[in-house]
Amino acid sequence: MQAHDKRPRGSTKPSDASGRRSFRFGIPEILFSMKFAIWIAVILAVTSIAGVLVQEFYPVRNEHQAHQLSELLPAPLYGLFMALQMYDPFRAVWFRVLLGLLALSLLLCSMRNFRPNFTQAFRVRPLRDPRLFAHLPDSYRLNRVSADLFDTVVRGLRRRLFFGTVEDSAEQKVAAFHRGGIARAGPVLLHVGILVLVVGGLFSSLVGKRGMLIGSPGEILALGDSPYQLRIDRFDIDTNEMGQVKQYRSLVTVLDGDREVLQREIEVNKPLRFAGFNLYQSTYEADPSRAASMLIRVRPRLPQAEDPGHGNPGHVHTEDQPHTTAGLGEPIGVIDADMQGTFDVPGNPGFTFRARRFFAHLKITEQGPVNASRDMVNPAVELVVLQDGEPFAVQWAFGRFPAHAREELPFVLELVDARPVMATGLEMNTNPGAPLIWFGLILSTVALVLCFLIQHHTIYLIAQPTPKGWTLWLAGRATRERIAFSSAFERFAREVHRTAKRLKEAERTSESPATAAGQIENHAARDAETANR
Amino acid sequence: MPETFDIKLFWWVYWLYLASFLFFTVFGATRGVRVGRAATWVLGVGFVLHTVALSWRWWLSGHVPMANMYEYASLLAWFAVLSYLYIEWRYRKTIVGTFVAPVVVAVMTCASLLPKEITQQLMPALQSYWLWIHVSMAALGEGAFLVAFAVSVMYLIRELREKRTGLSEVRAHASMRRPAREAVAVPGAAPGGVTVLDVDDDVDESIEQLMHEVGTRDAKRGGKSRGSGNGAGNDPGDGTDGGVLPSLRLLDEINYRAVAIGYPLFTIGALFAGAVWAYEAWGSFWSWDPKEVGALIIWFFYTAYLHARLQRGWSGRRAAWLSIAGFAIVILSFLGNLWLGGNHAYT
Repeated sequence: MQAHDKRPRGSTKPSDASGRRSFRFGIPEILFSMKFAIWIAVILAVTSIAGVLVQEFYPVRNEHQAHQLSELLPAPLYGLFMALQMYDPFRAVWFRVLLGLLALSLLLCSMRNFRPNFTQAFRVRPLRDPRLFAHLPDSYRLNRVSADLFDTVVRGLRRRLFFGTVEDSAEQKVAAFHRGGIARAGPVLLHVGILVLVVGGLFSSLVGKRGMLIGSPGEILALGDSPYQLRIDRFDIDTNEMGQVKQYRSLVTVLDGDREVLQREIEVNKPLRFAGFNLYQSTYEADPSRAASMLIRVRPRLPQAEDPGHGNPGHVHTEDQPHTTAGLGEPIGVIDADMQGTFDVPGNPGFTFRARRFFAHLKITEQGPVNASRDMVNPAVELVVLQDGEPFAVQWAFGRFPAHAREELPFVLELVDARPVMATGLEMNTNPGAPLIWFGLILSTVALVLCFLIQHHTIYLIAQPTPKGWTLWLAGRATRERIAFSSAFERFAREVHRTAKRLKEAERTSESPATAAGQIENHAARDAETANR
Repeated sequence: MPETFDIKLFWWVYWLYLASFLFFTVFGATRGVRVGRAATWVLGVGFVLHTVALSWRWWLSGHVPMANMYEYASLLAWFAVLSYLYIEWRYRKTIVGTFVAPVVVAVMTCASLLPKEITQQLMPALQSYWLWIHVSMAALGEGAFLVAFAVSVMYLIRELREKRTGLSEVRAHASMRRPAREAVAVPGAAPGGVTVLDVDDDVDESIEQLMHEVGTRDAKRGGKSRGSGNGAGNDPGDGTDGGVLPSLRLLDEINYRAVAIGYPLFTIGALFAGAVWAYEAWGSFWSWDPKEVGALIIWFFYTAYLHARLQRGWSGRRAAWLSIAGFAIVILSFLGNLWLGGNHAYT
């Protein structure tokens, strides 16, 4: 095999005579190639699909799910699965290495193309040999034209903001003009923009921090490892007439010790950015240990109290709270209570009560009563009953098991309904790569406009004297939409030809060629404009 | 739940598009001018009703109809029909409808199978002007990919037909060369060389003839040139068996142009605008959500397409196959939402 056959496709620098792979900046040529970038992209695409499918159908978010998967997969495969972090591949080291390789490919490609692209963007070189015009798809030769035609066409092109160079020598006149050359810079700028995006994203994922702050109104939460704290002042959920959530928002105050730094409302799509932290209204959930409101019903306890507890599944046996299932009379009042206030007991002057603890899902453990979940499965409230302002007794009221009473109380307090306090869920993160990402987004958008909305058109001219007059070569080249350009360039050539005839005619009749020259300038300009469009 | 007026209109539009598809099929087989016109008119009427249906839904729901998969599919079909009508108006290529109409019907059928209830209450995350920018630009980009797909199918059919009739593209292109070409003895020179125009000749006539042969003047002037073939304003032909299909060169160029329009729209709309919106709503530019991964793979694919075309010179058949494969990925990504969750699950 010949030496050049070993050269990786896409490389622009050939291998040396000994057949060794060539290097640029001391880097193997293969890393510059498009093939390398495509392979990285393919691997990223395949692993991303695998990651999405695994997370969707075989999620491993807790030990139970991990155990289930270990039973499903053979041990070596499960080991590989866990080693590769396939349960969350997007945060695995190998995935970040792949992204890093993509960034490297973009960087090398940009380095290789930066100079030639920008050179082509701002400079156009004339073709000095008419034979080269045969290489171009749109080329014309006009024989026996006037000596003024070349300058006339050049003036017309300049008037329409075509930029270029003209060389005039004894043998020939040559010119090259172009417009939209900045489009040449688009691809390299796009590569740089994407590179900046990838680097910014990698930087954020490596250095950035994420966390979730969940708190009810009144709670004070630590703001990461900063000296600041966040106080939840209010959390509101707006619903429409059908009960669907319209919007939810939190009023928060940033505290520096005891000092209030700022107060701000956070909404979905309206985050708070403070001291490098971004706080987003992400979710909300019930606070199982706080009730926003409770309906407490009061019933008189009848004298014939029964034996406590027998056959009643709702009994709570604690050492300090003897209780009974009372014989009860008709309700004498319903109180809309909350966790803050103290409320009179209707029909029992001197008695008041206040709520001490609330449980949305009460469960009795060895450590005492706890919440088993955040859902309103078994709501219960611990009420302190006061007589003449002094603590008198403690009574539990259960949502699912009413009619528990204390023997020393002449009434029973029942929990009819309860609504828990909603806690706001604020996602907190730091995104140190955000400025880079913003820059990358803007740069890439500009580059896309340059790449796809601006076209680079180049027009070449050569004029040579011959014994029978001048010969003018015209050629054009477009980077894209070549059929449309060919059509427009033909019209341009036709106009040039028509004016060449007028100039020739003017010469023959010894008229001033100024009128004809004016026309060619206008026609050339108009057609160049059409071609550019 | 009773059907709202916009859904009734949707069904009318669906049947009109289906009828248009049938007309286009007959047109493809018979090449009858009147049938072609009828197909375009029926499609046009459907498009007007479709516009009314979308507007009505917008008014009824109080937000842009881009909040779920049904609305997105309907919008995608609307953009595809709009693209075809533009091509018909600009290039007079009625035959393109034969390939766009079945795809439109397929997308509308997809939409018809999806839940159509109006989401009265837009969820908080969607209450942003980014919904407009993100979804409409992504749909426009994918609409352009759809056109590239349809044109690519046409390309492959025409190429197959030429192979069967023994005509090659080289010959087709050879007929487009200019008159009075001067052979230039330069190694590797493009075939044909330089067109020679003598100042004493009446060159206009020869160029008129040339432009007629190239068949591009119709494209630029809306088919008003003389001898433009059939009354439907179709391609006058390139001297081969072209018949009702545009030339391979033109189809290849439309394929590239559609991708070149779709790519920046998709990149800016689906990826960049989506990332900015995600940063505002969820706190991170990118979260490897299933829909995001789908969009990234579409982007990777069309990026590879452009590199293959611009750097390796992949055009013609290869580019056509790439466009077809690319649109298949677009469809897979769209349907993936039905089974996969993530941040876009509500759509």
